[in-house]
Amino acid sequence: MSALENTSPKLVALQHALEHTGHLVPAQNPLDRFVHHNPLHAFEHLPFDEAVEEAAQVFGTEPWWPEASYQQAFATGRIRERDLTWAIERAVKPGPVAGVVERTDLARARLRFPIEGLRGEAVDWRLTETPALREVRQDLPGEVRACLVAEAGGDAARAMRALWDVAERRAPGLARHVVPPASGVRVRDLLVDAGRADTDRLVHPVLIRWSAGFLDHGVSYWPMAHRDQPFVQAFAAHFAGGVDIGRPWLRTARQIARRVSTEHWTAEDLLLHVLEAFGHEAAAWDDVLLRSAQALSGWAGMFQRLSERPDTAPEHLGIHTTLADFLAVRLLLDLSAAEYELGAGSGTCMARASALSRKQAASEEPDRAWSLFQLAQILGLGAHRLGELSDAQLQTLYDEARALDDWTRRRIWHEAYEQRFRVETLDAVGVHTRRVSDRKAPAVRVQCAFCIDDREESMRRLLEETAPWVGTYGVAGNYGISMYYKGVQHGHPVALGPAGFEPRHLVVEQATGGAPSQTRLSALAHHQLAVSSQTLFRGAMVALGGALSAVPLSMRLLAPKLHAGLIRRPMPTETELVYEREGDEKDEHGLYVGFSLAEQIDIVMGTLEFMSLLRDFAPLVCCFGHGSSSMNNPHEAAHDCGACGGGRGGPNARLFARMANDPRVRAGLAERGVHIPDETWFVGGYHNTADDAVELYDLHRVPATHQALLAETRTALDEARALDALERCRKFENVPLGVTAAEALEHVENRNEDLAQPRPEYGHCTNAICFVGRREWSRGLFLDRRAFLCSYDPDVDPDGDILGRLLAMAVPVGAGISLEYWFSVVDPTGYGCGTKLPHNITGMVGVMDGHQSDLRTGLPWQMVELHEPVRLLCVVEATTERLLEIAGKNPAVGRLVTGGWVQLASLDPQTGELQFFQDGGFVPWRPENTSLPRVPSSQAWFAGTRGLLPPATIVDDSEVG
Amino acid sequence: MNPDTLLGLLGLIALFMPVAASLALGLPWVLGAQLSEATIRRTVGTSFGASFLACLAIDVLLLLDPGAAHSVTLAHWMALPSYAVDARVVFDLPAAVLMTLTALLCGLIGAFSASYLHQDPGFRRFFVLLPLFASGMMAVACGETLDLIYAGWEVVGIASALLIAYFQYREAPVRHGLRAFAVYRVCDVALLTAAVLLHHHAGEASLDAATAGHLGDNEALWVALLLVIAIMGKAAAFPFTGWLPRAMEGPTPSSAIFYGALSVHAAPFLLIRAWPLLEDQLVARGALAAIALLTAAHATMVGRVQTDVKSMLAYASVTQVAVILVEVSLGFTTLALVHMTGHAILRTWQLLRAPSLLHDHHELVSRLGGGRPPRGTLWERLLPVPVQRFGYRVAMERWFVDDLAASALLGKLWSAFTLLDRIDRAWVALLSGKSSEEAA
Amino acid sequence: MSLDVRAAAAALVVLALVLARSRSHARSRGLVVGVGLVLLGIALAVEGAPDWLIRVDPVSQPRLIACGVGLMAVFAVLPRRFSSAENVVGLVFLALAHIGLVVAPEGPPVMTAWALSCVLTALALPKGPARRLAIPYLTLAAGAGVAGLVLGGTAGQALVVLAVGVRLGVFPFHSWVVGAHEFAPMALAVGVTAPMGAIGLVARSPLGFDGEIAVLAIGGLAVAALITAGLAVVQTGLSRAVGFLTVSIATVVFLGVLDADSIGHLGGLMMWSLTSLSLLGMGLVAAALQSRIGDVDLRDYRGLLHRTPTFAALFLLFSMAAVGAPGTADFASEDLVLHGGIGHHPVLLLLFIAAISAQAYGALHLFFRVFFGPPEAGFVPDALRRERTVLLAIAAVLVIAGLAPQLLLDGWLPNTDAVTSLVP
Repeated sequence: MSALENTSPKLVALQHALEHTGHLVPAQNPLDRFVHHNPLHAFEHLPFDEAVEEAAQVFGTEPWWPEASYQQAFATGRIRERDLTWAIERAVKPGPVAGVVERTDLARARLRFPIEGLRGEAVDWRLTETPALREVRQDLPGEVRACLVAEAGGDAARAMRALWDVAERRAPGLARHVVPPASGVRVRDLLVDAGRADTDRLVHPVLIRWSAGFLDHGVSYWPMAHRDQPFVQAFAAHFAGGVDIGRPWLRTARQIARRVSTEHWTAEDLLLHVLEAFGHEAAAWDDVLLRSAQALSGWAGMFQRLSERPDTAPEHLGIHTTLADFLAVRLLLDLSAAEYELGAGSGTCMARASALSRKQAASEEPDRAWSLFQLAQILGLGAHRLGELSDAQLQTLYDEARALDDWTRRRIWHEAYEQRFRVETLDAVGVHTRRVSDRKAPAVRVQCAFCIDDREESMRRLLEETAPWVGTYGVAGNYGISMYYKGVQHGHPVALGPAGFEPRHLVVEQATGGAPSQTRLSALAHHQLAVSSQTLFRGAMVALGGALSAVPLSMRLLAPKLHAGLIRRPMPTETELVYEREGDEKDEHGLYVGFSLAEQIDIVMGTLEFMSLLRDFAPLVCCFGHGSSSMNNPHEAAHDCGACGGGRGGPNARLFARMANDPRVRAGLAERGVHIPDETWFVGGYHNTADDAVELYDLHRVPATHQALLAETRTALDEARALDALERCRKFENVPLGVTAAEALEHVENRNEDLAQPRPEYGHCTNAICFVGRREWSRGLFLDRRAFLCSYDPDVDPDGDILGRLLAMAVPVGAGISLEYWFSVVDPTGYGCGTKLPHNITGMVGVMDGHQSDLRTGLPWQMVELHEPVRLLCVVEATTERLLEIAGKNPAVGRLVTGGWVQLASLDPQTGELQFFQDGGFVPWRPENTSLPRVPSSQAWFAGTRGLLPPATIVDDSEVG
Repeated sequence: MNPDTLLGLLGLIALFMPVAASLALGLPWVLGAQLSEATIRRTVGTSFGASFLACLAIDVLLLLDPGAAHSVTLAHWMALPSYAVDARVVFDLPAAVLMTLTALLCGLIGAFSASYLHQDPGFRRFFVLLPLFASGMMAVACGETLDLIYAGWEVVGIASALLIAYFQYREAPVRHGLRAFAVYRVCDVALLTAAVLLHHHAGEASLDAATAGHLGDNEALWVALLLVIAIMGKAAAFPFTGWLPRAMEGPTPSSAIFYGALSVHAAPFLLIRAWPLLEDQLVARGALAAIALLTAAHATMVGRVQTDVKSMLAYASVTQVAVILVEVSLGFTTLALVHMTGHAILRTWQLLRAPSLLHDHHELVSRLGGGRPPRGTLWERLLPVPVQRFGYRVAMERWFVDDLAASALLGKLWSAFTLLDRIDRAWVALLSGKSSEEAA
Repeated sequence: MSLDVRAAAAALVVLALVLARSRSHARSRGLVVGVGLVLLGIALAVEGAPDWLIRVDPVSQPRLIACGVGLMAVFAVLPRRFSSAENVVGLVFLALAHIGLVVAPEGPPVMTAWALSCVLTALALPKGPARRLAIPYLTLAAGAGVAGLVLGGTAGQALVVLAVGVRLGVFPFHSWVVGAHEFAPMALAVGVTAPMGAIGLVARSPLGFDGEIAVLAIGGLAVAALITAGLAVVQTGLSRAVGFLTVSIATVVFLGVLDADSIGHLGGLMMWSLTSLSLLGMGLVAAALQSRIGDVDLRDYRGLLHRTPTFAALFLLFSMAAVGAPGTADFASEDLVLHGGIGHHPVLLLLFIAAISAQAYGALHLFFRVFFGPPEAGFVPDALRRERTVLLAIAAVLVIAGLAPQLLLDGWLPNTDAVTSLVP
C-alpha cells in the first residue's frame, strides 16, 4: 500500500490535519538553543483577549491569572479603584439591571466580592458551621452591611435568616443552567468518560520511551538503531519482530507494525490506516490529530521543531523527525490500547466506545439559593427587597450576575491591572521627557553600545551615572551578524545570530598565544570516569575510589566560586578571529568561510543605522554582547542573548568592532555617507548578566593614544557592574538588604557557580517596556530593569526606513520575550514548564518532570515568579502617522499592535507629546500624575527595597540649579 | 565517664536530634502556625550539625579502641514481667561508617536544599521528612536488634514514599511514591517475620553471633532467607528494580540522597550487620549472589539505553548496589563497606550535578576539541548485530518485568477485588433496598 | 492506679471544658461532655466498687477512658446538623451499653449488655438503608452471642467468637459496617462502629492458640483482614474505603485479643484501646471532610493537601498509627501481639504480617488519593478549633504512647497478673 493508492481527498484532509496540528504544538527549540517566542503564535491573527481565551479552550490552560491574585493586587494597591472603574466602564454597558441595580455597580460588586460556587454538602456546612446566617459578609463595606441589617432593625442574625429564607424560596424558580460535559473526540476520551481505563496510561510510557530513544542526542550509552529511517519505520523495525511479554494490549500494534515494516509504509500510510481503523470521519481528523498531539504536546512539538529547523538540534545526527511520524506511532499505540480495552466486538473503536454509557452527566451550576443569598448581600439587597422582585426581574438580575463569569471577571481585572502599569509608566515617561530640554547634554567621550535587552537597562543607567561622560546605545546584540562561530573553547560551531535564520557564514577563533594542550587528555579521562561509573565492572572500580568525590562535593556546595576557579581550565591568552573571505569558498557544510568586504560594509552600516549612531562618533566606542552562564540550570540558554538565537553574543560584538575598525570598511561607509573619524576606535566586549563580569576583546590592537581613555572606561565599567550586581541582588531574597556593591558582586559571582541555586539570575523577568528613541529622552529615568531600550534618532531617518526595519526586529522579539513570560506566569504549568526542581534532562533536547513525562516547554517558575503579566508597552519616538504607516506596511508588526499583543505609544519627536494606541487608533494620553520622584542616584532609590519600584528621575550633577 | 555511657549519650544525640527537628517543624504545622524559611533552616542545620558532631565523636572513640563493638542500651522502651524490648544500639565499624555517612550527606543535602528549595511551597514538608529519614537511617545503622532496625527501616520507607510524592499536585509522583511503598511493604513482611522468628527462637532479636548460636539449622536458614528477601525492596533488586527509576520524581536533592546514596545502601548494610547469622548459611548466600548477579546484569543492561539523565543514574546506582551485594555474599564485608561509602558519595555528587548535564556536555565537547564524546564499544564489537538489536529492545522495555507484574499479577488482583466489591454492592442493595451509588 | 492515668484524665477534663465552651450547639455538646466526664469519673473512682456491681480490672478501666474520649471526640466532630437530640441520645446510650459490656459481671448482666448493645447499635444508626442493612446482622450477633454465653463450652465459645465477629464486621460479615459508613453520616457511623466495644465480650476469654480450630479461626481472621484491606484499595468513595479499612483493622485487633498467650493478649488489649483511638481519629477526619464536600470521590486524586493541611497531617498520623507505624502507639501493641502466641505459628505469622502490611498500603493509598493530586479548586475549610483540639489530643496520646509505651503499660502493669489470670 502506498499513499498514492489512497483516494487523494483523504490524503489532502490528512495533510491539512497535520498542518493544522503542526501550527498548534509548541515551537520550542532544543534547550541549548532556547529562544523566546510567543507561545500563542498560532493565534496572533486574533485580538489578544479573544486569543487567550480561545487558546485556553484549545489547550486546556488558564487564560488569565487566578482571581485571587488580582484581588490581592487590589488589596496591596497595585490595582486602584480608578483602574477598576476604568476597566469596568470599558467592559460593561452602563444601564439599569432589572430596575434594582446599575450594571456597572453589579460588575464592581461581582469583581470585588467573590461568590463561592458551593454545591451540596458544602452549603449545609457553611450554613451550620460558619456565621453565614448570623452575620453579614465581613468583607462588605460598612454602608452595605448597615443597609442589609437595617431592615431587621439592626439585628444581623434576623436579617440574614430572613434573607436566606427568601433566597431558598426564590431559588427554585430560577431557570436551571446545565453545562453539558465537554465531549471528547479521541476514543480514549470516550473511554475515560465511560469510567473505563485511561489508555494513555498504557500508551505513554512506551511512546515516551521510544520517542526519547529516537530523539536522543547523546545521553544513552547505546543509541537506538535504525535511526537513519523515519520514526515510523524505526519503531516498526523494533516492534515487528522480537519478543513481547506481559503486554497483551500491544497485540494489534505488533500486527500492524509488521505490515509497516514489510510493506514500507510511510507515516501517512500508517495514519490513514489507523484513522480508518478507529472509525474517525475525515472531517474530525483535524481535531483528532490535534488532541492526540496535545496529550504529549512537548514531544509532538519537538518532532515538529526538529523537522522544521534541523539545525537547532544539539548535534547533527541526520535523523528525520516529522510530526506525522510521531502521530502515526502515537495513534497506532492508541488504537492497540483501545482495541484491547474495548475487547472483542464488531464495529469500529469509535462506534463501540461511543456506545458506552457516559459517566458524567451534565454538571449543574452551583447551588442557586446560596448564589442568590450571596448576590443579594454583595448588592445590599435585603430580604424584603429581594422578596418583592418579580420573577422576571429576579431572573434578569441572576442571569446578568452569572454572565459575569469567571473568565469575564478575570479579563476585567486584568485590564485594570495593566492600566495601572500603563498609567505609571506613560506618566513617568511624560514627566521625564518633558524635562529633557532642561538637561544639559553631557559631553560624551566614550560611547558604549549594549544589547537592547532589558537586563542592560540598569547597566547602562548605572554606567551613565558613574561616568556622565559615557553615552550609551541600544542595539540588537547580534550586531547585525549571523554566523556559525567556532571559538577556541567550542567543540563545534555554534549559531550566533537572529533566531529566525540559519547562518550561512563561518567564523573561527584561533589561538595565537601558547594554547594549553593538556585539556584534551584530562577531559577524556574525566569523561571516561563519568561513563565508567555507570557501568558494571569499571563502575565498581570507580566507586571504590568514590569517596574522593566528597572533596568536590563539599567544596562546590560550600564555596562554589573557589571550586570553580580551581577546576577552570586555562584559556589561551591571545586569540584572533578569522573572518575575512576573499572569494566564494565554502566549507564542507556549505558555509561561507568568513565575510567578504562588501558583506562587512553592509553589516557595519546596518548596525550603525540600527543604533542611529551615524555621526558624532566619540574617540572610543565599546560594543558589548551579552550572555549568561550558570550551573544546574537546564534552561541556561534561556538567559543568553535572544538576539543571538540563545547564544552568547560576545563574538558578535568583537567581530563587529574588528570590522568597524577596518579602514577599508570605513571607506565603504564613507561612500554611503557615514564618516567615522580616524581617531575613533571600536572595542568589542562581553557582559555576563549572571555574574556581571565584563570582558573587553582585542585590547592589544587598541592604539596607544586610546589607552588612557580605555583605562578610565574600564574603571567606570567595573564600578557600574558592581552597582548592577547590587541592584540585581535586591530581588534575591537570600541576599540581605544591606549589602555593599562589592559584597553583591561577590555574591553574584558565587551564585552562578552554585549548584544549589535555581535562580542564577532572573533573566527577562519583569520586562514590560520597550523604548525606541533617543537616549536623551530616557537617560536618567529609573526603569527597574524592565525596559528594552532601542536607540533611534528620527533626525537621521527622515523617511522612516530605519524605524521600519528597527520595529520589524524589535517588536516581534520584544513581544516574543514578553509574551513568553506573560503566559508562563499566568499559567505556570500549562504554558510554563512548572518548577524546575524535578526537571530531568532527556536526550539533550529537553526536560521532563521527574521520571517520565511530557517534554516540558515554556519557562520554569523560578524564572518568572517575580514577573508581572503585563503586555509589552512600546514607546516609540515617532509621529503617529509614521507608526500607522509602518504598522500598515509590515503585517508582522501591524498584527501585534492592532491585535493588542503589544501596547504602543507614540512620543512625538518634536513636542514630546504622548499618544496611546487604543481601539484601533491613537488617542492623546491624559496623564494622571504630573510629577515623578526625584532621587540623586539609582542606589538611593532602590536601597532597602525588594519589590518592583515605580519609575523615578535621577537628578544628576549636570542638572544642579 | 564510662566510654559506654558516653557512647550512649552520643548515640542518643545522633539518633534523636533529627527526630527532634522533625517534630519541632511538624508540630507547628498541625497547630496551624507558619514558620519562616530561616527558622526551618536553622532548626534543621542545628540538628544535623549536632548529629554530625556526635557521629564524629563516636568515630574518634571507636578509633581509640579499634576493632571493638560497644553494645549500649539507650533506653528501656518497653518492659513486661516476661518480655522486654530495649532500644539497644551497637557501635562498631559498620555502624560508625553508615552513621557518619548519613549525618554528612544529610547535612550537605540539607544545606543544598535550603537554597535549592527556596520559596517552594513544600519547603517545610521537605524539611519535616528529611530529618525523619535521617533518623530512620541512623536507627538502621546502629540498631543492634532487628526490632529497632525494623522501626528505622519503616520510617525510611514512609519518608521515601512521601518524598517521592513531594510534587503531589502531579499524578505521576504520587503513583510512583505509592509504588515504592508497595514494594517496601512486600519486603517488609519478610523482615518483620524474620525479626519475630529470631525473637522466638533465640529469645532476642539481636543480630550477633550469640543469637546465631541459639538457632536451629532450619530456623537459621529461614531467618537468613527472609533477610535476603527483606533487602530486595530497598536494594531495588530484580524483579523489584522498576520502582527506583520511578522514584526520581522528587526534587533532585532528595533523589540524590535516597536513591543514589543512603536508602539503597541500607540493604547491603543490613546484611553486613546480620553477617554472623548469614555466614554459615550457604544456601542463603547463594540465593543472594544469584539475585545480585541477575540484578547487576539487568540494571547495567537497562541503564545503557536510558535517555534521561536521572534514569541512567538510577540504574547505574542499582548496578553498583548489586555488586556490593555480591561482595557481601562472598563475605568481603569490609570491601563492601568501602565500596558502599565511595559509591554513595560519588552518586550523590553525580545526581546533584545531573541538571548541569548540558553545561557539562558543552564543556566536555569543547575540551575534546569537537566531535562526539567516545562511548563504549566492547559489546558492540563482540556481539552480532541481531543480538544487539534484540538486547536493545529487551533493555528498552526493562525486561518486561513491570509489564508482566502489572498484567499478570496486579491486574488480576485488581479485577478479583473489584469483582468482590461488585458482589458486595449487589448484596448491600438487596438488603438495604437502596442501590449503592456506583453499582457499576 | 498510676499517676499517668490520672494525668491523662486531667488533660481530658481540660479538653472537655474546651469543648463545652464551643459555641456551636452548646446544649448537646454540654450533655455529651457531662456524660464523658461521668465515665471518666467512674474510671478514676470505681476502684473500691463491689465486684458484683462493676468489674474494674485492666480490661474495663482503659475502656472507660477510651469510651469517654471517644464519645467527646465524636461529638466534637459531628457536624451541627447531625447533632439532633435523637442522635446524641442514641450515641450516649450506645456508649453506656458498651461500658456495660466490659464492666458487667459475668452471667446475665453480660448477656443483657450484649443484647442491649446490639439493639442500641441498630437504633443509633439513622433510619433508612443503614439501619435496614444492619438489623439482620445485629440480630445474628445478638442471637449468637447470647446463645454462646448460655451454652458455654467449645461450641459456646465458637458462637461468641462468631457474634463478636459479626458485630465487628469481620469479612464476610462486613457489609453492614461498610454500609453504615456509606449511608449514614460518617461521624455517626464512626461513632457507632469504631470504638469496637463489642470486643469486650471476648476480652476476658481468649482462645487457646494450640487447638486446631483456634488456629483455623485465627488463620481465617488473618485472611479476612487481608481481603478487606484489598477491598479498601479498590473503593471509589472515601466513606466505603474508610469502612473497609476500619473493618480490616478491627479484625486484626480481634485477632490479637483472642491470643491466649499473656504477652500477646496484653498486646491485644492495648491495641484494642489504642487502635480504637487511631481509627476514631482517622474516621473523624474523613467524616469532617465528608461533611464539607460530601463523599470524596477516589477515582481521581483529590488534592486536598493545600486546602486542609491540618487534616492531611492528622489523617496521615492516625492512619499510620492505626496500621502500627513506628513512633505511634500501635507499633508497641503490634509488637506484643506478634511476639505473643501468633509468633509460634510461622504460617499464621506470615499471614498476620501480610495483613498489616496490606493495611498500611491501603491506608497510605487512601491518604495519597484524598490529599495528593491536582489541587482542589473549590475552597474547603480546614479544621475548626474544636475539631483541631480534639484530634490533636488524640494524636498526642498516640505519639506519646508510641515513643514511650511504658507510660501506658505502667497503668496496666500492676494488674498484669490479673490479665494473665484471665487466660484459661
